[in-house]
Amino acid sequence: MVNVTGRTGQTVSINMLGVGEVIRRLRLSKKEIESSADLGVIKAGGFIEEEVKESIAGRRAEPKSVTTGQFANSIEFNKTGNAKGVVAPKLETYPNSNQTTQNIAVMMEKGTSRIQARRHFGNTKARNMNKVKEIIEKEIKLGVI
Amino acid sequence: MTVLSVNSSTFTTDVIILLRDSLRDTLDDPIVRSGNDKFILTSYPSKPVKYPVITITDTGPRQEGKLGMGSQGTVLRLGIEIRVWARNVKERDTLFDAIYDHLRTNQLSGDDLTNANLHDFSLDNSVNVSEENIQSKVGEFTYLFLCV
Repeated sequence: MVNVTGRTGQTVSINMLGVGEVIRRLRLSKKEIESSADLGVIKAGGFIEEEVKESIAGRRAEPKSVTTGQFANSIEFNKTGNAKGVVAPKLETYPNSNQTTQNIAVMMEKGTSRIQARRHFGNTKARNMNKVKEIIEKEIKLGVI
Repeated sequence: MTVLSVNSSTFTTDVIILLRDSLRDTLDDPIVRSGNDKFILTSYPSKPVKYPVITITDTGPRQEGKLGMGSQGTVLRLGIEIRVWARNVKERDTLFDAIYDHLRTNQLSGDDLTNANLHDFSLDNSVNVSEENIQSKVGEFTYLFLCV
């Protein structure tokens, strides 16, 4: 309750009702938005993981980079924090070689003096930026309603 | 072909040629080359070359916004890949440092790159690619360009 002195000297009392309830609901909405965004990022990460694999398999614009399938199978989405994640190859060493899936990913992405760059990750990102935003937005809307 | 500033109708080629010329005038070539061998190229080499070489290619522009309602002007983020292909790690890193130093110290008003209409220099990421005989470092740079 707030007391305000009026022009003629008398005291006017103002009661603000429901402030606690508004704060409680805002806090609840914040939690809902955060958990929905987190779920959205997980869904979008899964989608990007599949898109990178499709690109490596040669089913997108880039030439395929498959011989044994180990590189494509190593691609995975990992959650790194609240509403944060990374799509990257899991560190595995190729049999009878000292090459790792992460070395191969860099060589395929950037190219070498003998291999043309295939940009499986960069092109997937450029192609699907709006789709990722859509997935996250949809989850937030569903979570808040 | 010499480009003095980046123009709105030819920004993709202009930025590459401008940076090539600017780096060519600044960096010392570590080896002596014959007539046709080039130190700085604007595409990945398709023929055998003498290392070290530097390639400057475009990674694609991104529109960051418009210059207001009713304006046809846009704010573009121009992506440029500068890659050093060297004979060893030391040579690779020395050349990359020299490139970065030149671009970093040419971003204030009055310097040639800013006068050429390139602003807000940024090195977004860099990655090493190690091969048996060639060590390369790929740097992705961006500049802000007002397309009006």
